[in-house]
Amino acid sequence: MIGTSLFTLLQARERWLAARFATLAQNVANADTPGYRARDLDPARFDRFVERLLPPPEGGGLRRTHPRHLPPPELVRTELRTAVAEAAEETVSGNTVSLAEEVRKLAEVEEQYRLAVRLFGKYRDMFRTAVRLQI
Amino acid sequence: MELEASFAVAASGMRAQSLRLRVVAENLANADSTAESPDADPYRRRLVTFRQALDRELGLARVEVDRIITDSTPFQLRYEPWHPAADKNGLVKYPNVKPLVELVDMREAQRAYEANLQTLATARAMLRETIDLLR
Repeated sequence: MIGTSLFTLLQARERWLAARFATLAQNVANADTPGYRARDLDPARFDRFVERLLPPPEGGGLRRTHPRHLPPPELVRTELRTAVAEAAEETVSGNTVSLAEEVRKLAEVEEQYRLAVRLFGKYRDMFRTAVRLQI
Repeated sequence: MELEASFAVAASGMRAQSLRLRVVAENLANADSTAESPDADPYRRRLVTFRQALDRELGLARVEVDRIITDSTPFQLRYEPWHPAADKNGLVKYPNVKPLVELVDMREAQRAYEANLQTLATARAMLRETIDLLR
């Protein structure tokens, strides 16, 4: 059903933005750590992130047949976070965090997150309207 | 969840920066702390070094104070023959604290602290946005 997949997509968007936010928060916290390289998520890999969240096609993919099996790895933790952002400046101590740049990105992520959450809410309201009509 | 992880990371940055501020305060307070006898050393300026600490549970690098080191630059000598710590030439060793350097360091710590606090506030606003969906 198309409806549920839009919910999944928005959910994926929110999770991806939250992951990006956490990565940027890490940069801000390490703004004075010697040798720290500023990191970011690669937007080009967002589609792969969504693929993981969508249910696997019928009969395909790996299934957990036992509760003690390892859960599928979380993409955010491992693959996405490794990307090192291009450095605008580098201090003597080898730190590449630019606070101004991080703050700009944080504001950007906040706006995008807000958009995704509001869209989610609006979409849910549409379902609500449909349900009310039936009663 | 990623946004809660951002809280922890930003808090670690605030903790590290406030310790740095504490050391700056110590330096400024002891800017004139001489020794009591000619052969002893006066207060020696202290510095904080940061390092990143990977939090395996969060999958993010928090910031930690690595250690507090002492500044090995030579002490300032002043001619004060009446001072109990004066040597036979009448020179007294004063701490190697330069108030101007400390003030700049203080400003930098403050700026970094504020950036972390702002990150925390933004993460909170984003979470609030999600909670507001319940209404």
